[in-house]
Amino acid sequence: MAIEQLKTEEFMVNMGPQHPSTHGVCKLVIKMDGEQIKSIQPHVGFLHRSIEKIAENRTYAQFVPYTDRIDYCASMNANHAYVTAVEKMAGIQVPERAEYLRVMMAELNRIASHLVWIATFAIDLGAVTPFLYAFRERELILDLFEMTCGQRLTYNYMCIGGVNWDIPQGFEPKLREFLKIFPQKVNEYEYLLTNNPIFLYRTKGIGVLDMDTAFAYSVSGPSIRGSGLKWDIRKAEPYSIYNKFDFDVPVGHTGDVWDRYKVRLNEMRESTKIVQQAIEGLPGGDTKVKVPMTWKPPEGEVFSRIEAPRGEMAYHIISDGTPKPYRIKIRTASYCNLQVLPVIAVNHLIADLVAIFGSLDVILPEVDR
Amino acid sequence: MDSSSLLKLLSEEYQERVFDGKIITDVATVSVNPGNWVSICHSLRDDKSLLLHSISNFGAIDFREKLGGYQIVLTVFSHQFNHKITIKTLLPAKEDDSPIVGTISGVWPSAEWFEREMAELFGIIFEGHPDPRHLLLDDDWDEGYPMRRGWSGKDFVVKPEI
Repeated sequence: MAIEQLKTEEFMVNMGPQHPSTHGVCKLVIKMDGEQIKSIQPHVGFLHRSIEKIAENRTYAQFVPYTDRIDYCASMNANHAYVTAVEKMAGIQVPERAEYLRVMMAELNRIASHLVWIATFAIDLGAVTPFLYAFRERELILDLFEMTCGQRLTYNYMCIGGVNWDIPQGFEPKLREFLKIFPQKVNEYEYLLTNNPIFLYRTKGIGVLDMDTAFAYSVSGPSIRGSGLKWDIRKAEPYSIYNKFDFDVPVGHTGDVWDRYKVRLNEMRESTKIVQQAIEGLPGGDTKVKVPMTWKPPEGEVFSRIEAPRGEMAYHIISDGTPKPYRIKIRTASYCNLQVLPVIAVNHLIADLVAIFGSLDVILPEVDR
Repeated sequence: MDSSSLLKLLSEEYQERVFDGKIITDVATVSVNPGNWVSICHSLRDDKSLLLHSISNFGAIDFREKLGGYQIVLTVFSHQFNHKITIKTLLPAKEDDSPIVGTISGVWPSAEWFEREMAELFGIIFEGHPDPRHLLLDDDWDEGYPMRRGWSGKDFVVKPEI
């Protein structure tokens, strides 16, 4: 029988809810033509905890621990986004030492988050070794966090008006040691992956995200920088004390999976620089200003955003002058970044979908909230 | 462009459609009528002097008690000019009404999920939405619209006042 006479048909594949490459609970309903993807429909909401509803029922200070759970890979940054929004609304001036500590912790957490990403991304593509290497260094950062606030994942470190604890004795030498060895470790990951022929074959020219699509789908963070746009909220609208530090914003060229990988690797180097400068310039003084337990902010609203490891994290807070927020709307990076997946993964092979999904660094609790 | 010149430009160029312009914590904010919602979004996106091509945030607020309806708030920004604006519209609604407004997912595709979320959590109907399924809640969710003020569900307990 001639091959033209064979009957072919499209079929559906359910990827997830629990699939190793979805890093969380996300179901992708994929329409396939042989090995080729024709369309994707993401189903999210499995981790929906209605954090925005909870916020209406808690005081401003009580809500801080919930922000940790929005993005558990980068809790410090999630804390930072919320407290800066509340402080901006109420006009609270944070002591300089607290700002330095916040930036230091946020950047360390950015490195830790990127390390989780590189580990899981490599494992999705079949490279097991980088996973062990990356988690080895992440452990050092988690040790530093544990020394400071006793937690390893959900820190609840920042509070309205400053930070909850000062750094303990022995933190500084340990941090300096980490900063000394870490740049070499990044080179080590690069040695394992960057020019590895199999890795290149899996990532070069795959999942190209062009600029217009990125704009239309509001993609942010390393995912849009991979497409070549030098856009970083730390530089564009400096919050906290980011304007005091000297760092570069790494960008890619073509917007493929490999570019997004390279941007995140270079970001880890830049974050190391920021932490180095923060520890050198760390001033003395208080770590927080007193904010009463049943504190009432003035009536009003605020929109504030920061650069989290995955991109833009924004808070829109409406206050009615009571101790509880009237409404908090949280915009997270993964929410928009996941929407672009069906657009850029179409016509790729199903094996490439794993690489593309991994390269967007979507974290599902952030999508579902 | 800074917020005050942005606000001036908006209230001059679009004076028939926008009103109540002010600066709220350094973001230029304007209000529009629900009938002009889609058209103003189209014009703002296509305005070459603004280049507002990405959504920063898009959400709804239940203001039935204070203003007599749901307010939808959209913040859009430009990477090139590094400015952002907030557009608001108030959809009048009484007790259990589900207000209707046009969809802007044809203007900014990323609005699609934001609108699906608002539809299931607040009960706002986005007319012409390409995919009006639930996003975060179960497909067979039948306990009403959880983000409305005063909503109560089977497992939802309101914390006592302190």
